[in-house]
Amino acid sequence: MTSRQELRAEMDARIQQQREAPLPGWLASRPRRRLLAVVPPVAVLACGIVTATRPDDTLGTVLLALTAVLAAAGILTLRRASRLLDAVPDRLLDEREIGERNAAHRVAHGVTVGLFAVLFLLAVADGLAGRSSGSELIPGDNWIQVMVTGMLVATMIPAAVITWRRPDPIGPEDY
Amino acid sequence: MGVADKTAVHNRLAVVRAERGISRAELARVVGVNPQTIGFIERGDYGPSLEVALRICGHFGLPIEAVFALTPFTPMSAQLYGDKTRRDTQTGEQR
Repeated sequence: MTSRQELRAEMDARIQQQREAPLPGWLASRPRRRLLAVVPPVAVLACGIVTATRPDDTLGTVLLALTAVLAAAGILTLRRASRLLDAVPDRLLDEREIGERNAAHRVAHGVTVGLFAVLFLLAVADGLAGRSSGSELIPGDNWIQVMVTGMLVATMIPAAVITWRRPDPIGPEDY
Repeated sequence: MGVADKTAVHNRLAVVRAERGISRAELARVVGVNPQTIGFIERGDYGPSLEVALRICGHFGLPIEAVFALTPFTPMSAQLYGDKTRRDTQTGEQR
């Protein structure tokens, strides 16, 4: 076995170990998992939009940093809750898991398109409001922040959908 | 097929596995799937592909219709003793 293959085998074993680790107790119930699937994306989006409405002052910078921290924590927590299903290569998944991941990606694609459609309409509405009344909710350049926030949320959506749809795991009984 | 959907394929995998004394993890390893997948199949939440179904049946040395079917299985006890009981009632034989 070459060193590259050995490295890959070692990495695969480490990922599998992470995936098989039991979930924390607070993720045992389905309502809690569904809450987890919704809260991080919504919190990041809300925080990003509020940040974009602020002028470039200290509070704005703090809110921007908070958005980044929330996004990183949200992505890591959702990946843990979805057992890395959306992040691992196909060779580590069986047919059920691949089907589960593909179904989640189908849903996530629709949600992502919907999210960016809403953001686009908001940008157009805000631009028109700015032209007619002279006051925009989000100043022109700050729409970049909103788009970056949208992209951060989009990276979370597949894991959020998997977490939302995931049924209760089978118990560790043997016979 | 998503795991949340109930499958139209019925199976008696749990009974066969218990009868042979094989754990889910062991069967999963032999078949090449996640142990959770064996549990989802037993619970009727997931219908396996033909390949996985054949591997499972191959491991037990059983024909596929002994483990998987499109109609619900009658309980094993009824299959084993139900007919005999009926025969005994008809012939009046004492057991």
